[in-house]
Amino acid sequence: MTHLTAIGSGKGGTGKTLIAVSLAHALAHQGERVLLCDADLGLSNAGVHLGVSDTGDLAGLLAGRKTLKDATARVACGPRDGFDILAAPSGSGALADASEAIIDRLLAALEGAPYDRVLIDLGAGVDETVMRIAGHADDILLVVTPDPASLTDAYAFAKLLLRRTTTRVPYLLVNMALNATEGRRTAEALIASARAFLRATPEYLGYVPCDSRVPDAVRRQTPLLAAYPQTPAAVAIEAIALKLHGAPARPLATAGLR
Amino acid sequence: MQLRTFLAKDMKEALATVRADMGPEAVIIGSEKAKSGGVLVRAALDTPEKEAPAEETPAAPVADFETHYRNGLLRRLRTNDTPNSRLSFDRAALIAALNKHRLPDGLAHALAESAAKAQLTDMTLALASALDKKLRIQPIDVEAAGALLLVGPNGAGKTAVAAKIAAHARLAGRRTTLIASDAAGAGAVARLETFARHLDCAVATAETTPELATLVAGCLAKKTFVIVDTAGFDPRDGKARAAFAALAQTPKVEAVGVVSVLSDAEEIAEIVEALASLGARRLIATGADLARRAGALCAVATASIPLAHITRSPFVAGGLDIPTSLSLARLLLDEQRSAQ
Repeated sequence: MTHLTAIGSGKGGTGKTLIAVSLAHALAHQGERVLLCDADLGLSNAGVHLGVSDTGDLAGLLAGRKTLKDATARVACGPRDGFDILAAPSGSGALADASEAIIDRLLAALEGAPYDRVLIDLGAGVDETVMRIAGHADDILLVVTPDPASLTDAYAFAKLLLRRTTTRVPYLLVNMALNATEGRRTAEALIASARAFLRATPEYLGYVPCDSRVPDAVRRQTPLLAAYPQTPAAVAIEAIALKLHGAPARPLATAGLR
Repeated sequence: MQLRTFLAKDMKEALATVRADMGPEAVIIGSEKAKSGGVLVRAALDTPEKEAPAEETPAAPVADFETHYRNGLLRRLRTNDTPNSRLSFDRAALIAALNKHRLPDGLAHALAESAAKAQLTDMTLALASALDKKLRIQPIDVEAAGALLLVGPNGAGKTAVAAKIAAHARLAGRRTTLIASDAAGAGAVARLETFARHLDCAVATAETTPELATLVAGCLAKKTFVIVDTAGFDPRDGKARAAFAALAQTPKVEAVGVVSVLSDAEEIAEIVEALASLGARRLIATGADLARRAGALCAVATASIPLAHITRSPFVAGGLDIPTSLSLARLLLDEQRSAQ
């Protein structure tokens, strides 16, 4: 069954797209068949991060011109692995005012997709499109930074999600934390607010440290995990992907050479 | 939600300010000591949800290990073409394939001989059976292992292997300490420290062999798993050998040779045997994802000491694989199969 993981943040500029792209890369590396869907329907830029020109044809899929298989493009991240991407052409604004019916068509297509996991990079904000997709996902990863404005916007995201679904609580990922303490503190502030006012406890998945290699990889339009697989931010994202994937605690004899 | 941050001289004053400015409904969501002295308190205020959803909704479990494991296995079984009757046995074709992978001549002929004796019509299975007689696999059991000393030539990937083993140990819930006995190498300790921070392991450095022995004994007494990272050296060189022979004599430490298979097969066979004569008891082969010719990997797998793992990923969490004779046979005959 396809597992839909939505990645949202409320506030823009939290590094959501970088996290989405890197998680797709890391999960693909752990053997999952991954589709990265850039649902920032107005301004899509996952392709810009990856430095690829073919990012699939989301508009074609939604217009019914293409099947899911034809609308996705392959992103290779190593000699043996990669993931698929489904996005609107960068900067096209083609789907800026997608109607509810279109969103539902997208969700229906993703649900039946032949992948282990579909990572959905939501747009910034908490508008109807974003919340409709988030409400439909199997789990939601909320990307927060230590910036107080990010905290309040993430809280708003969690609140609207809970209102819409009555039970769904997002996972928290703290991006751009100076260190583990700041990461934990940021998550705890949000968890404390959610407990007090929403009576719900989001779960903290981990933090990604500030790392000068991240803007460098973004500038070079090379996936972080390909450019610097062992830099602290990449190691942290790998660890979070491992938690999402639920990797076995021991190496498996079945994980052979191919 | 309203969010405010207050700086006060102590907690009492901070609480009073929060109450005064935000009212009795405000909730403290974080506090820390300010660098300039005093406390920094962050408070939030929101209208509580009228109909609270079920009290303390637990987050969905991250993933169900068993389900993932089972689905992964099923997927592999379905997608990997079974070796049945894909290639029929042909001695000349087999030797050609092994030569293409640059296996040492002796090994290639011994394998072909043994595969012919197996009298199996399927070439992959015949080769697997031949490899099976030569292969000795002894994976590291991170739950039971005591202390490992990683030795090998420069650039073999000892530090990355140390991090990978530590990651597996941490996932299995073992307390782990990483020791750098390579304090002189530029950045060697810093790199280990970065890994350790993310894996939540302790790090220590040992300058001398007695110091290392004391550290290891201390950890083992507390049932902590120890991984010792060492400086790279050429095990065939007399001087370097003498220095490392002393290190490998550290009590209660198992020396594990780490070698990159991105090399000539004969070269690597020599290095492996030199490591074995220095006291290495197992091997870890790195860089299997980068090598296009599996000769060196086969040389390592059929060496006089058992192979523990192979790594085929630069990622710390992309772990330590356990090779099998069938997976090796498939790798060696991959080109033939796809040509068919």
